[in-house]
Amino acid sequence: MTLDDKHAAVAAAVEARLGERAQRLENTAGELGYAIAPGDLLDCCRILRDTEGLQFEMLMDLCGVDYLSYGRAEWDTASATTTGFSRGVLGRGDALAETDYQPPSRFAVVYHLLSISNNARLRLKVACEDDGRPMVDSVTGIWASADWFEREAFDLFGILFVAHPDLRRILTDYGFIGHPFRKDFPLIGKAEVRYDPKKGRVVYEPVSIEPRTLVPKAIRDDNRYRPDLSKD
Amino acid sequence: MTELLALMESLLGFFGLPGWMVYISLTAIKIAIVLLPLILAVAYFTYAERKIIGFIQNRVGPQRVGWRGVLQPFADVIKMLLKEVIVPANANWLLFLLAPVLSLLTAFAAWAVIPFDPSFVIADIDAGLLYVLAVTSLGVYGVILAGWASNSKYAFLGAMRSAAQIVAYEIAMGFALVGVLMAGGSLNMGQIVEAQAGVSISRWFVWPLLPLFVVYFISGVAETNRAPFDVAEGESEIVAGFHVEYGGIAFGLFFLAEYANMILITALTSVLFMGGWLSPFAGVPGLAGTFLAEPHFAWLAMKMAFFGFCFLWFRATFPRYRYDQIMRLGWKVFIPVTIVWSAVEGVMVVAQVGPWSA
Amino acid sequence: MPEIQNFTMNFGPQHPAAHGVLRLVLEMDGEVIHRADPHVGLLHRATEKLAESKPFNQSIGYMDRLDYVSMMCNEHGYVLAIEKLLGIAPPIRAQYIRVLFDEITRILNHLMWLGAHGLDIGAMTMFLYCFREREDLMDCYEAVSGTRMHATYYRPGGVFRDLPEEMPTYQPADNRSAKELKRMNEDRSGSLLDFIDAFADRFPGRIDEYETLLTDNRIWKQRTVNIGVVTPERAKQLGFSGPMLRGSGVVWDLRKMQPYEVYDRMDFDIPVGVNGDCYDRYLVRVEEMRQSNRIIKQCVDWLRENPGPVVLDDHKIIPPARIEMKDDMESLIHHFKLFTEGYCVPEGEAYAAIEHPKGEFGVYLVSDGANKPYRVKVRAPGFAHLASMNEMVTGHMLADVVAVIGTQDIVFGEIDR
Repeated sequence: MTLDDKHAAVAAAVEARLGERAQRLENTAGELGYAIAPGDLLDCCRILRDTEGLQFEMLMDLCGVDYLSYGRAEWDTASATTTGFSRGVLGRGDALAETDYQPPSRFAVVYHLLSISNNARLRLKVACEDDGRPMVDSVTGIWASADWFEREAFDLFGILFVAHPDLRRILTDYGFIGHPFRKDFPLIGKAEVRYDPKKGRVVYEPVSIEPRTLVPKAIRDDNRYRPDLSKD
Repeated sequence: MTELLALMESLLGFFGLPGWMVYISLTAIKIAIVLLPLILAVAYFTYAERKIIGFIQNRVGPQRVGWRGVLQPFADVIKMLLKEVIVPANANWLLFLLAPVLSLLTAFAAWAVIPFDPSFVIADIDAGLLYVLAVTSLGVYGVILAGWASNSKYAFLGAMRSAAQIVAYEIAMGFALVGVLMAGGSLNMGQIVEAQAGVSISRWFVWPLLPLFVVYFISGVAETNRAPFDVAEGESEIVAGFHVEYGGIAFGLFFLAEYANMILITALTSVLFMGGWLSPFAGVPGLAGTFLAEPHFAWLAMKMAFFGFCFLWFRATFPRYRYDQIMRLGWKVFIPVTIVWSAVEGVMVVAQVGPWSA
Repeated sequence: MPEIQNFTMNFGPQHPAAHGVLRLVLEMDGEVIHRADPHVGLLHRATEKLAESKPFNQSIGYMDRLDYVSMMCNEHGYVLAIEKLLGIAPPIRAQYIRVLFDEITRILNHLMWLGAHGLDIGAMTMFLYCFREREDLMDCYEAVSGTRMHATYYRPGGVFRDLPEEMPTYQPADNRSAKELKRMNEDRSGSLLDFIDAFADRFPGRIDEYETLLTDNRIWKQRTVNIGVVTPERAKQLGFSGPMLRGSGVVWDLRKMQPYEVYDRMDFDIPVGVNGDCYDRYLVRVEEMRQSNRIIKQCVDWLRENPGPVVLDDHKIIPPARIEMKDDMESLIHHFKLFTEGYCVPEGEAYAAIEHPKGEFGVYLVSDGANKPYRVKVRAPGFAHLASMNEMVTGHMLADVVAVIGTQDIVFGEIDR
C-alpha cells in the first residue's frame, strides 16, 4: 500500500532532515515508519519534535518487540500440497525465506509519534545493539509520556533505557524475576503461588502445569498476498 | 403521661419505699420511656433512610425481611450482634472499646432535657440549653478515641477531620443558640417552647431567627457527620474514617450513636426554632378547642420527621465537601453570620421591634 | 529536635475510590499531597502475550476485557489493525453498525464514568441514575451479541451478525404488576433499531437531569473547578488523548481528524474545555454524550433505510454460515480451517488507533505471516493518563486525589492489560 498525500509530504520532510539516518520501514500497511540507529535516536527525536512541518509533539506509544522467534512456525507444513486447497500452501521454504524479515538484532523499541499540528503519524523503530543487555537512550526528556511506557518495556522485555529517571518494574509483581514478554519466557510463567496452611503464608513454587499449545503457529503463504502474484 | 407517672408514684409509695428510692425508680422509668422508643426510632430511621433514598434513587430499598422489609432493622441488629468484634493487633484495646460506648453515651445523655410535651421531660433543669451544648460536644471524644486507638492512618485522618470540624461548627452552633436564648429569655427548654406560643406559627423563633435557624440546622448536619459534611467517614476518601477498624456491634454502637444524634438534632431544631410540641393551628379561628389546636407530642414528632427527611434528602442530593471547604464554611461564613445576627437581634431587643415589641 | 516526617499513606489497592486495583503511595503533609506514586499491574493478565498465543479471531474476546466499561471500542481497535494488515474493509452497513455501537459504548462508558465520578465526590444518586440508562444500553449489547458486557461482536471484515428484528422483553415476575410490565416492555415491542431510537429520543432529557444535579451545584463546582489543572502544552507532553486532551483545550478528535469507518459522514461537534480542570473535563464528557446521541440518531436513520450485508463474503476470513457448512464441501473445509487454525495475516506491521471513550486506543500489530499475531501492543489511553497522577495531584488535598482519579476515567483492565 502507498502513503496518502499528507504522509508522503511528511516522508519527504523527514528524509530531507534526517537523510541517511532514517531508513524507511517496509510492510507497514500504508503507514510511515523509519528505522533509526540507537546512537541517533535522541538527536532524531528532537528534530522530529521541533522542526517546523514535522512537529511530532506527542509520543503516543512506545513498546518493545522481541524478534527471537520471528517467522518461525510451530508446525512444519513443508510436506503440504502446493495445489488443491485454494489457500495456496507453498510450504515453508524458499518462498518464505525471500520475504523473511531479518531483524538486525533481537530486541527493538517501537515509537509511535503523533503530530497534532500536522495531523500526521510516524513510527520509529530502534534495534537494540546488544541482545544480552539491550540498551536504548531514554526519550523521557523529549516526551514526558515516555516515562511509564519505558518502564513497561523494561519490565516486560528487559530493555534498559539509559538515563530514565525511575526505571522500576511496573506491571509485574513485586520481586518478579524475568521479563515475561520475551519470546523465551513461557506463557504459563515460571512460578505459581498458593497459600501454605502450615507456614501460614503465601508461598511461591515452580509451576506444576505443563505448557501446551492449543493451536500451533502456522505460517502459510497466501497467494493473494504474494507481491509477484498479485493482480495489480 | 402525667397520670401514668402519678399512678406509678403512688404505686411505689404504696410499697413503702422511701422517697429518694421512689424518685430514682421514677426517673429510671422515665429514662426507659424515652430510650426504648428512641432505639426503636433509630432502627426505623435507618429503614426510612434506605426506603427514602431508595425512592429518590429510583430503586426499592429493603423488601425481603418481613412485609416490604419492615423487619430489616432487626435483621441488621441481629447480624451485628452475632459478628465478632475484632480488635486490631496493635490497637489500644481499652480505648478502642471505650470509644463506641462514649459516643453512644453522649448521644443518649442529651435526651435528658428534651421536652416531649408540656408535661414530660426527664430532667426539667434550668440550664437545659447549656447541658445540651456540653454533652453533644463530648460526642467528639468517641470519634477521636476511635481514630486514635485503631492505630490506622485512615481512622486517624478521620478523627483529625472530625475534631477540627466539630470545633468549627460547635462555635457556630453555640452562637446560634445565643440567639435562641435572647429570644426565649431562658435556658430551660420547656420555657423556650412556651415562649414561642402564639397564634399559629407566628411566634415561632424560626421567623426572627431565620439566619440562625439555617446555620443551626446545617451545623447540626455537620455535627452529626452527615452528607454533605461526612468527611470524617468520607466513604470514597478515607473509606470509613474513624470507624474503619470496627466491626460487629462495636460498629453498631457508632451507628446507633450517629442516628441518635441525628434524631437529637431534629428534636433540638424543632424545639428551639419550630415551637416544639406547639400546634401550628393553635389560635386559628374555628379550630379552637379541637385536637388540632392542642399542644401535643405528635406535633413535635411531625416536625422531627420533617427535619429527619431533610437529612436524608441532603444525603441523596449533594456531593461531599472537601475538608478545607467545610472549615471555610464554618469559620468564614457561619460564625460571622451568627455573630452579626446576634448583634442585629440585640438591637431588635433593645429597640423592641418585631417579636419583642410586646 | 526530632525530624518531622511526612505521613505516607497507602491508598488502595482495596479502596472504594481506586476504581479497581490502583495502589497509590501518597506522601502527605497533613492532608496535602506532596508526592503520589501509583503502583499498577495488580490486574496484569498479560493480555498481549495471550493474544500472541492464539489465532487472530480468538483474541477479540480478550479485547472486551481490557477496558471493561467500553467493550466494543476495544474490539474495534484490534479488528481495525487486523483489517489494515489484511487490506480489507468491511461492508458499508457493517461500518455504520460499528459506528452505532462505538457511540453506544461511548455513552456506556461516560455514564459509568459520570456515576463513579459523582460517587467519588459524594453525589451518590448520580450513580444510580446513570445505571438506569446504562441498563438500556446493556440490553442493546445483549440483543445484538447475546452478552451484556463482553460482546465479541466485531470481526475482521464486518460484524458477527446483523441487528436483530426483535428485542428481548421483560417476563412476568412476582414483584411486577401487569401494568408495570407493560410499561417496561413498551419500547421493546419493535426491532433493536426502534429501541435505540426511543432511547436516543429520551436520553437528552436524562442528561439534563444529571446536569441539574451537578453542573450548577456549588459543592460540585467547589470540588472540581481548578482541581487537577493541565495546560494544553503539558497535556500533549504527557501523551493525553480523548476528553483529557480536549478538556485542556486542544481540538483533537480522531473521529474528525483521522476518520475511520463512516465518521466522515456523521454530523457532530467536538466539545473542548478552556481551563483544563476537572470541571471542564466533566463538561466535555457530558457534551460528548449529547453528541454521541446525535451520531446514534444518524446511524439509526441510515440503517433503517439501507439493508445489506454486514460482513465480507470472503470465506478465507469469515466463516461460512452454518447452514452452508452443512451441505457444501468447500464451506465445510473453510469452516474447519478457520476454527482450527484461523487465517494467516500477511507479514507486516500496523498501528490502528480509534477514538475510544477514554482517549486514543491504539493497537500495534506485528505479523510474521502466521495465523497468530507476532506482537500485539495495546496502547491504552488510561496508561498515559495515570502516569500523570503525580503531577496532577501534587499540592492538592486527599479528597482531590479522588476527584482526579475520577476525572482520569481510569479502568484497570486497560492500564494493566
